Amino acid sequence: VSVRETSGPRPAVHLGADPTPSRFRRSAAALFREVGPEVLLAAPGRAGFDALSGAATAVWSHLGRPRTLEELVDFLSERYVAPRASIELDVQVLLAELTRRGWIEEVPRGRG
Amino acid sequence: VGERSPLVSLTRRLASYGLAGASGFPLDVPEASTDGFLSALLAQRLTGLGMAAWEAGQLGLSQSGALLASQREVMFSVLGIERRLLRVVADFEEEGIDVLILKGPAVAHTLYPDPAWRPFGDIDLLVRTSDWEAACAVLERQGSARLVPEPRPGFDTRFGKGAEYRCPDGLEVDLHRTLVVGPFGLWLDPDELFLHSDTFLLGGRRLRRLEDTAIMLHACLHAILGPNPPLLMPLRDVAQAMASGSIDWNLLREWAVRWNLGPVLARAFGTVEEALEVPVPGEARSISMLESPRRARKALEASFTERAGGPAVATLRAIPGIRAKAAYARTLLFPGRAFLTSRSGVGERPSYVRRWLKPVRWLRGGTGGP
Repeated sequence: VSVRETSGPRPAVHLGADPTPSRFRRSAAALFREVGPEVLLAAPGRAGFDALSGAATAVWSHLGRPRTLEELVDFLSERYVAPRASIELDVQVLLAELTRRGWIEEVPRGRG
Repeated sequence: VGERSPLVSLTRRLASYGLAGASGFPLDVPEASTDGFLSALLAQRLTGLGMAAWEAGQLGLSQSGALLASQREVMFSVLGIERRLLRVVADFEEEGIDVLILKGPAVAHTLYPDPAWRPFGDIDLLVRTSDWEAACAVLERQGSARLVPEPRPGFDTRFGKGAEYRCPDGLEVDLHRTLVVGPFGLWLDPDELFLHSDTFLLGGRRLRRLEDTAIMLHACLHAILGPNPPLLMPLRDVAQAMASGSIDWNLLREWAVRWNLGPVLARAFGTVEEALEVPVPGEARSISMLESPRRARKALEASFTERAGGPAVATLRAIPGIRAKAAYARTLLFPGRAFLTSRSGVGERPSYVRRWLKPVRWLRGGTGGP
């Protein structure tokens, strides 16, 4: 599990209709700190915190600038020496979850 | 900063991690000192620097897991404070109140290479004196409670530094109308600091802060006029600001002269050199050499001694005009009942007589602040 809620129930994951949007970036509203192998996150106006670990931390670090799904899959594939095909769905699920929780957002096409 | 035990030396050395000229790295903490070292890092808010040094292979520590756990807890707290800060500032802005973020969040997000290096424990805000009452009202509407009541109506805006509030979630907001309590806080012009402001991004919002030069001024004041011995984090803030390359040394010198702050800055620069063992720039040395008025030197001395009423008497001297001095002295002697109650010990009946005995103790050479 890469995204861990530190309080409250774990939400269900819902994939969007288009799993390959143009680019993703960190949400400007996310308050965060990198602590060892984790990224701790808080959102203004919302109680509780999330903690990213493992591949989610790697994705967060790589999203220091906007990236496409392809770029993220390439990055993780190289980093974890894993075939692209075996991780692509997991990355899609992770991005959908991070987006749903407001930590990342899609960059409108032609921007970012 | 305390005496030079091996533990103090280790902690001071870590406080200089990442600064140009810092020596003694990699730093190895003996097994027997590990618990004390970790406690000192927490007390001095140095867990972030500890983690950074450890991750860079510059800190040898047998219980790195404990350091990681401490930093994790501290950072959860910091994120909660930032969340509260955004709410407080939004409400201030809605009321048209100009507010500058001081210390922790502003320094962490602007001067340090990674905000995780700079933990903080509360929210410090500067508002104009003219906005003081409106700002207090905003905090009270949010459900925050003032920790110590105003001694007399009008005292805050005339003589006070600020007020501490506790929010419903337990976090504390230190609302300032000047940077420090006492004579130095009265001599400086806090409204002028609003002309030397900048911004930083937090949670997608642009918040106002002091410019780097004013941040360094505040860090010096906080380091020297705050807890004694000085805490290491404010000293590190001074060193971090110096290293930013964005200090307007001419402006700092002008403030030092015009606001009688020379002795405080000189002591801050000297303490940074002594405690962190890093060199300060020539411009700082030059400010340290400035001739200061006697009253500024005496005010600095007084801040280190409660004897003969130290800070209270120094503040009285700094207040211009006989009528204002009388008003200040009257408030010290006859504060409101609510203030008196808040300053009494647990189970102790509020008493003017006990309060009036303090000057007698001062004259006899005892201790006890106002």
